[in-house]
Amino acid sequence: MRSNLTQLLFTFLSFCCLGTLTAQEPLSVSFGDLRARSIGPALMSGRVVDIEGVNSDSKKVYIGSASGGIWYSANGGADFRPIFDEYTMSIGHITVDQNHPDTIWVGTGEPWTRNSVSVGEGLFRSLNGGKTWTKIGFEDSERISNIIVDPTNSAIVYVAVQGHLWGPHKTRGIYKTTDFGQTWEQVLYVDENTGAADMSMDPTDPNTLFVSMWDHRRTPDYFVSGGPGSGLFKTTDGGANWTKVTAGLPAGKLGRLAVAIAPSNADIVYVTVEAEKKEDKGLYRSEDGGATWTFVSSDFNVTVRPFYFSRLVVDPVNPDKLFKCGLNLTVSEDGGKSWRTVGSGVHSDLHDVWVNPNMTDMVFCGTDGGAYRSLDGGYLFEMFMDLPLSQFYAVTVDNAEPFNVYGGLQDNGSWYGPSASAGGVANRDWDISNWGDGFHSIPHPTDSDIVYSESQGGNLVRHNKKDGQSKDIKPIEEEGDPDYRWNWNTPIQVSPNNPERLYVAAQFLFQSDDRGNSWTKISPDLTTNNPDRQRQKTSGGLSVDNSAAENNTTIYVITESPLNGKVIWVGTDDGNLQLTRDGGKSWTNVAPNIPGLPAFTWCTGIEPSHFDDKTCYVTFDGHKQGDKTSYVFKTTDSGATWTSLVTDDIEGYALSIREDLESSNLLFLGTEFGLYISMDSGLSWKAFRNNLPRVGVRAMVIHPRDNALVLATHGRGIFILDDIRPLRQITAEVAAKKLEFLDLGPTYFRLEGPSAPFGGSGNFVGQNPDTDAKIVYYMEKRHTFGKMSMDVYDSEGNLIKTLPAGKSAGINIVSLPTRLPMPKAAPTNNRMALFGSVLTPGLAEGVYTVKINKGNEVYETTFELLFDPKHEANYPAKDRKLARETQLRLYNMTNQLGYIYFMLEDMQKQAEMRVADVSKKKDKELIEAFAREVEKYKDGLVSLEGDFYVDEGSNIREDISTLYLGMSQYPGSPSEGQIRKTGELEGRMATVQSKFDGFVSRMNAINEKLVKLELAPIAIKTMEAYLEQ
Amino acid sequence: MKNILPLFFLALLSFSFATQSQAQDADEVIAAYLEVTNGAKWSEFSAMRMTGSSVNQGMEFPISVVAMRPNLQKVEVSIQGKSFVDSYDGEVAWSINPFMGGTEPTKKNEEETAEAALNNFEPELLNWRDKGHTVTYDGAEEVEGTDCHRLKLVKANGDEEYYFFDKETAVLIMQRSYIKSGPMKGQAVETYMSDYDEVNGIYIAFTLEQKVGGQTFMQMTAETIELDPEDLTKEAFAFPEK
Repeated sequence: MRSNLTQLLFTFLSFCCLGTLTAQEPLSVSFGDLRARSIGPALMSGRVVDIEGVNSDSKKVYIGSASGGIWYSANGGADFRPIFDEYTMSIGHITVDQNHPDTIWVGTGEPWTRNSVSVGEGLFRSLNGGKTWTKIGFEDSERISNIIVDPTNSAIVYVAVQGHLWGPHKTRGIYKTTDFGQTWEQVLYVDENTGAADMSMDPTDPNTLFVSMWDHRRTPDYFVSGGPGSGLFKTTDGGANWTKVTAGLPAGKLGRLAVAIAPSNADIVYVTVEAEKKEDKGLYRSEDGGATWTFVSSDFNVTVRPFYFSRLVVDPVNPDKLFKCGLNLTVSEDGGKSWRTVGSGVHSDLHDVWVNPNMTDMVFCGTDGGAYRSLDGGYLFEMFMDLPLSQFYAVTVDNAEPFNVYGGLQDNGSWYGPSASAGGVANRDWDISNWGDGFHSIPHPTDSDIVYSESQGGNLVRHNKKDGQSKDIKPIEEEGDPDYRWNWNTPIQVSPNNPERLYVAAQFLFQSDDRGNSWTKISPDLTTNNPDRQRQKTSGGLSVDNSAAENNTTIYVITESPLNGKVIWVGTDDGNLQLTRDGGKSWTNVAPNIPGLPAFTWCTGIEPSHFDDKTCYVTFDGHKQGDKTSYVFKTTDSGATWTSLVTDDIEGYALSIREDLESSNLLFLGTEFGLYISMDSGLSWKAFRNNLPRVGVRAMVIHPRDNALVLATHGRGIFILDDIRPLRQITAEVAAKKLEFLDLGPTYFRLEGPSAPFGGSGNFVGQNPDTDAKIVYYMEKRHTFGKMSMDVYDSEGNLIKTLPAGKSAGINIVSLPTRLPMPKAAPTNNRMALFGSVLTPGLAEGVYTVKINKGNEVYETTFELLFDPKHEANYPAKDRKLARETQLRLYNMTNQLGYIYFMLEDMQKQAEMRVADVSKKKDKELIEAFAREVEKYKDGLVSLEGDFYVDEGSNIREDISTLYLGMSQYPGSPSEGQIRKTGELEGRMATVQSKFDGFVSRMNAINEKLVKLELAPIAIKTMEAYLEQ
Repeated sequence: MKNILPLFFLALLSFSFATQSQAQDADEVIAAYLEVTNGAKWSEFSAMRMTGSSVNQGMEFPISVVAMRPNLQKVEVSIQGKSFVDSYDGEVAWSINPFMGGTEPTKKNEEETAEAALNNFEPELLNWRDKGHTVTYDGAEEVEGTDCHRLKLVKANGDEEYYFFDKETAVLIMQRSYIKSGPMKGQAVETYMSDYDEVNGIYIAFTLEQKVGGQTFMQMTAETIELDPEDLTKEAFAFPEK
């Protein structure tokens, strides 16, 4: 006991001492109810890399995406939902143990190694159909291309590790477990440059496997597919011994090979070969289990881009039918001799095919633009429209109401769409501004018709939204200029100080003040201009792949200080960070001043401060040099000195950073593994996971009017944190308080139009911002014991609502519906009338008081409810007042009638009981007659007959509610007829009231008799008591 | 909605803070929990009634829940005289949904009935070995800013549930289970408990909040909770035969 007391005292004293150092202490606060919302889009979707089904129940399908996780359908694709959001979003391969279909193995790390590819984090397994996952190992494998479970023994699993893309590595090749993943043996290894790219098991002999090994490497400026390590290998003893298969296959260096044994005939094996000689490239077929091979096709889609399209799928029952993923999906039904290319609007760039073994005409395919399903064996495909896998590279916003979001996507053009829409942000809400691969897409700040968009390699256009026309405005070399080097993802920027000023950059920075019609070069070559890194034209290895994806020694980031138009920062893909403070006359490379930053590290983000033009934040990313460290730095002296803002809280290489527009303490960092938020100027960071998957955040923008943080994720589309004002208010002082209200300013009534309710399942709809008023507060600790509730009072002190309070530690957001409570209405069996008494009038505009009762303590704040000023002209205050007054007249009638109805019911029931209690016949008859009369009148007030649909009646109860329903959702003046009928109903209600009063008088008279007889009188509640019950 | 009832009882607690230890395995966490929840007293009760209010999508409705050993349960929500009922009487699971299936009581199908039969008046973690369940300590997890112990329960029938106990107070603050049938089968449902208060000497959570995908779809606040109410009989749960 004594020691406990000593320890407590020590803790207390330590805390007191720390208190004096509060300003230096990291500030880590739970984000509580602050949630991101996804607005997709899913209409263009994103890259799907792998598809797997359950053979015994082929409605169950899993889709693995390049950087958007795993999506599961229980219904053959009618809808999908994500099941892997807590882990890396980059999927390599999904394998269901078909003997135990709830066992799913997932190898992470996409095997289709384009320049923008993400990274995996090893092998995972679920034993419950994807509900929960366990990491099994291979954490540093980066990419897993295939997994095969021995169909005769589920404890035996083979894993094909493709391994690191950007450097040598020894965790590569084929690994085998015989104990269900407890231990693994590397059974095939070639060298540290060669990974396992594909694997196929003999369906009749699980000890026989073919494996393709792939020698390959990427760097920021080059890609090589092919080398001495590549080749086809075969084992017939479960991996103990391997033979390199060469007879009948091309000589010389090989590149990436796809291999597939026909499931219905193990003698037939196909392999596509990337070879040194063009004439050797193509499909080879063996009819003797791989002993001999015959060259059968050099079809374009069979040979094109092997690093990206090496998936070969043989039909489950027809050994001569095979699907080859290529630029397009191509299908052969004669063993590969001839091919037909699938059209039907399927996106180009195919990565996988799954054929339903129980119905082989059902074929799924995965592309750069989502997943598709065919029901006719691969002729016509329909697209799944609820896979929001969109891979944004950048994001901007405009000032429309609601604001629009703009951005470009991998292989899917540039798009813009609203941040809110009636019924939610649906696929139909989005419009395209440019095709190709999309990157930066920026609206003109003052001309809402104009969008600057681009496709890969700096192909910049000025798009007019009004007429759909685009003008090519890419700068063209002047006489004597070297060729311009444009990054795959060329930076463009509109000046924050001059809406007509536009920047774009190759190795030089260009500036235009006439919307891109003409350009001025305002810098020398700002890169290292290292010729060794300028090899795009020969990039690719055995198959030249000159797509601009490896253009290097280019500028990657441009930012102008929001405080000073002459201060421009430029970051390059080869490690330079250049600054001009005189509008481009002179430039200084300040990257060498950054301590701990390796040379030539790619600059991914620059954020000049909104508070001081000498302060700036930068992110660098070395993963394309094999360095996955997070690099985040801050300078306060124009780049002379830098401080690292990296802490152990951060995971993933850094991609983007934003400083809040109002609080310099508040920073947002995007990495390959999600969003991190700092509330203490970068002293500490906290991962934000509330409805945001562990997805790469490539870019962010803060909407200056709406205080929204908009995230461009590369794999899950656009996410929005609708209101970051609570984060701005979290300080060390607030964090030490038990409960502190955070101010969100006034709440505006939002107007929403009708939405289309149908269209079936499988159409993605992004969530709208919540239109409720919100009470936001911070709590130091979770509330657990005793009641905690929230009372809301109007400006006259009337209690209008009691709500459950938020109980979390950290930020609590309690939504307060901006409508009155439901009236206590009489019953009805009329559907529309019921709707009319469920939908209630809005709260009055004005100031409300909120009291939180937490145990014995009361915390009080106010909030203001206002009509949206931008709709004032259409719905002026006098019209709104009339609308609300009319609605309230009907609302009050509903309560009044409810009271009368239920009191009559009470009178009737009590009277019926008293009939038995009295002895005189005359008294019995009197009370019985009263009961019957009350009953008859009461029943005539409502309509309880009918079917609650198309056979319904209407009495005064229904007349009030249906009239109310017609005007309840409209903010302006009711029609003349509605106002007139409201008056008529009040007249009818006066009659009802008078009749009720008459019954009350008769009840009182009966009660006098009952009292004389020493019997309990008939008692009814007061209206006040009724409404409070 | 129908799976939340046992949580009222699971979340039993006394105000003893004797168990603020950092329990590191399942038995320690459960032992601490049983000690403070006065488990022996729990066995004295076999029925309950809760009345209160439910908030769904911003609208508030009166709600009542009654339950009885071993697995009888009935939830009733009233919307202006229209009753929405979801009940299991030990043999028949039935419901009334005026907006979907008319005003007549409708029997549920075999799968739904089997799911309803899984209701357990007694909390699953009490005497879990006797029930054939497996419980393991499954690590730590932060739940809405509170550091928690996570226990994994695998029921005798293979169903999985996760329970989260506040490390500081040993209180159960969240349970994660999975929808067992229908189009949302397999989706995780998280139920958060708060406002623990005393009923017959036992502390019970008076507020439950259910979330799917982090989004609240139902909040339920009890105004009264009665244990072994005298007027509650098995007939209250029965399918109303015409």
